[in-house]
Amino acid sequence: MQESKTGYAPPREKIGRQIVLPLSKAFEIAWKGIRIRLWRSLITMSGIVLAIAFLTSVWVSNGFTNALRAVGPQNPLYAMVQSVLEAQAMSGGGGGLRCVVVQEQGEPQMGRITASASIYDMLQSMKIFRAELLPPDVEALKALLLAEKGARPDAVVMIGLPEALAEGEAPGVLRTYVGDGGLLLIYGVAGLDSSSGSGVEGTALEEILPAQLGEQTFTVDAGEVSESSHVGARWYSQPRTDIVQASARPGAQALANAGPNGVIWRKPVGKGAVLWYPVAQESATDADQLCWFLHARPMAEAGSGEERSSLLVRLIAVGLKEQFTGGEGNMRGLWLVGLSLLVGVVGITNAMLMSVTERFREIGTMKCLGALDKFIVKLFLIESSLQGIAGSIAGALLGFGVAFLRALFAFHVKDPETGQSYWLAAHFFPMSDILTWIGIALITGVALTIVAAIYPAIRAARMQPVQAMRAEA
Amino acid sequence: MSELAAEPYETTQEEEELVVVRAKNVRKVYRMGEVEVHALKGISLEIMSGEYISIMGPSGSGKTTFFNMIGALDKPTEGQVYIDEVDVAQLDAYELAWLRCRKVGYIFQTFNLITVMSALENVTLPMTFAGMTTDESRDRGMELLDHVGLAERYDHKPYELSGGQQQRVAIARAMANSPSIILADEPTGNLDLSTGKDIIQLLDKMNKEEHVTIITATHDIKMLSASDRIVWMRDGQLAKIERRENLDIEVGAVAGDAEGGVEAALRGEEES
Repeated sequence: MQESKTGYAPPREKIGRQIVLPLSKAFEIAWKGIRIRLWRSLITMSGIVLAIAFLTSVWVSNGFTNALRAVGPQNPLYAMVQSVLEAQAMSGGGGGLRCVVVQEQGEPQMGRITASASIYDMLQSMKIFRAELLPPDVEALKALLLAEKGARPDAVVMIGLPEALAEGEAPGVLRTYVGDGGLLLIYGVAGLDSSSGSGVEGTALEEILPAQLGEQTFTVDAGEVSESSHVGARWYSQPRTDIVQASARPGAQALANAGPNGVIWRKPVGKGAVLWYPVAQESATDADQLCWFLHARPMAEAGSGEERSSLLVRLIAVGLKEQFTGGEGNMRGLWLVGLSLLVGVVGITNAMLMSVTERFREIGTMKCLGALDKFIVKLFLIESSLQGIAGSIAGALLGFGVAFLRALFAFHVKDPETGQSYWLAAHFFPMSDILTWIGIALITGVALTIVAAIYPAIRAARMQPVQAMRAEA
Repeated sequence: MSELAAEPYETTQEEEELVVVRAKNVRKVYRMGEVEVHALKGISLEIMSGEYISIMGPSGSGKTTFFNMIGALDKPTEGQVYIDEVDVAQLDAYELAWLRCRKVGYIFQTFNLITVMSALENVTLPMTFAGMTTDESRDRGMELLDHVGLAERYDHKPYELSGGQQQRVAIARAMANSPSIILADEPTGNLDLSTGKDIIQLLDKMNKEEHVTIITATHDIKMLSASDRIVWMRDGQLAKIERRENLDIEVGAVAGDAEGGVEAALRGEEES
């Protein structure tokens, strides 16, 4: 041994404990890695993007559907919109129909349609209406409905106030009866003179009324129309099932049986018709509160012109929960969401495992240089969460775009006469719902990525440096 | 030959204080399926502070396994490895990381620079792990890079550097926290003749100037001329330990010693 070397004795340091580096250092190094391996990171991210895009599109689509089923072809609201369009076309398509919303204080809840927005807001957003708010004052409403043609609104929406309607007669309505199973409106039909009470010549109202309303026919003749008590008594005496034909949920079932305009029974009379509208009123909870839509065009106006298939008086009940949340559709949605979550986790875990595997040597080297296991875990978790955040944001935007386009085309109404298109998804845009779902998708994406990265990160950290060195020559 | 292995390298009392690495009857058994592989069959060795030692032997001789043991990268199945008189097997994860960070510098055949980091960042990484501030480590890193002659290329990424340059960065990185031991596993294995020579010279320079103990595992005869001692391994045992004075080696011409150890080792290497 050489003298020069043996003469030197380095001071012996006691073995210390390695310090734990702050997160910022790990972040710095992880960020460097992502930047340099940009393409690799982008490929990993694209998996996340696709998974989250799928998830978001399913959720947002559901959100749109829930909001727009209400205006879907199966739903009376759709018919309402169409009728409004018809009316608009008929009246020359003038700038906006006047709509009066009779609404109690506070925000009513219309089932799932608009969890937060009131009917008023909804109508405003439809742009085809000029909505006005009216407090639930029967006298005021009556005055409004019976006003001169010019001062009369094109439509009246009443929320949860059937009694008000019962008291104030809408134009064209001869008699209104409210029962807990529905609402009977007897419209003045062309040929029926409401003032004199005499019917169409040779036609007794008895013949007009549907036989299925009861075994016994209504003993109502033209002369008795004005005597509300009689008809009313009959109405109240009828069990609900008679009206809607044996349904546990009369209102909903009746609506399902109803024609496109919510009419369960129609009898053309002269140039007009008698229409029966069932109304669901099974519970008086807020969520089930009913919205009565009354397109209050006087019958005379509609009927006197050309013969129309229906009177321009419509009553539409919405807020029927089962209308909007079909059990079967929910199961399918759940299945889709579950599947895409699974695919997302598997995909991200796989991507992270790949990322660990191809960096065995780098990890081993770092451990040789004094990196703690914790630090390696942090490195991988930071990397994956950065990828997760970026990927989820991109995925959520992509998914939203897809869902929105889908909804836009799925809920599209075209005015047959003017050819004007109404993109209901844009009109009824359920902003808060959509934002909520996007938020949930974002959180899910980031959480999934982190969960998926935990196993690979721990695997990487546990590796002995020697093993790491040995991997790939 | 095996009696040599059983008989530890004898030291005088005053030399004993300077032992940096002490291996005591180290055994390592790997399990490969049903078969037990005895990679190390009881090796005892003491390495002095400031020594330049080469471990030579054919592939499969247990050279790398032994090398990993004394570098605290692996734990022996039986026996102890002491680094600075501390039993490596007794250390917990934090102490082990501390040891790897400050006591030992590693140099690899494949350089193993972190590909996403520049030369300077590679050199400063161990300092970061040791808790040095960014400014301090930057200054020290530049100093080290200057020392290995790569100061102007501090911002280059590993793939922008030649093999020799990468290895020099690796040497600078190994020296980052002024370790007492540098472990070099085939440091010239991936380099051509003249670059390899440069690296050996650089290691020699570090050894002489910084008094760092250098332990290399190598096939490279060029290494021998720089070494103080050469440890020959064969079949998981120490075959022979030679001092340089007893070895008549000139680079490019191998003249075996009386026992023909070098030639025997080289033949073994070729066979495998």
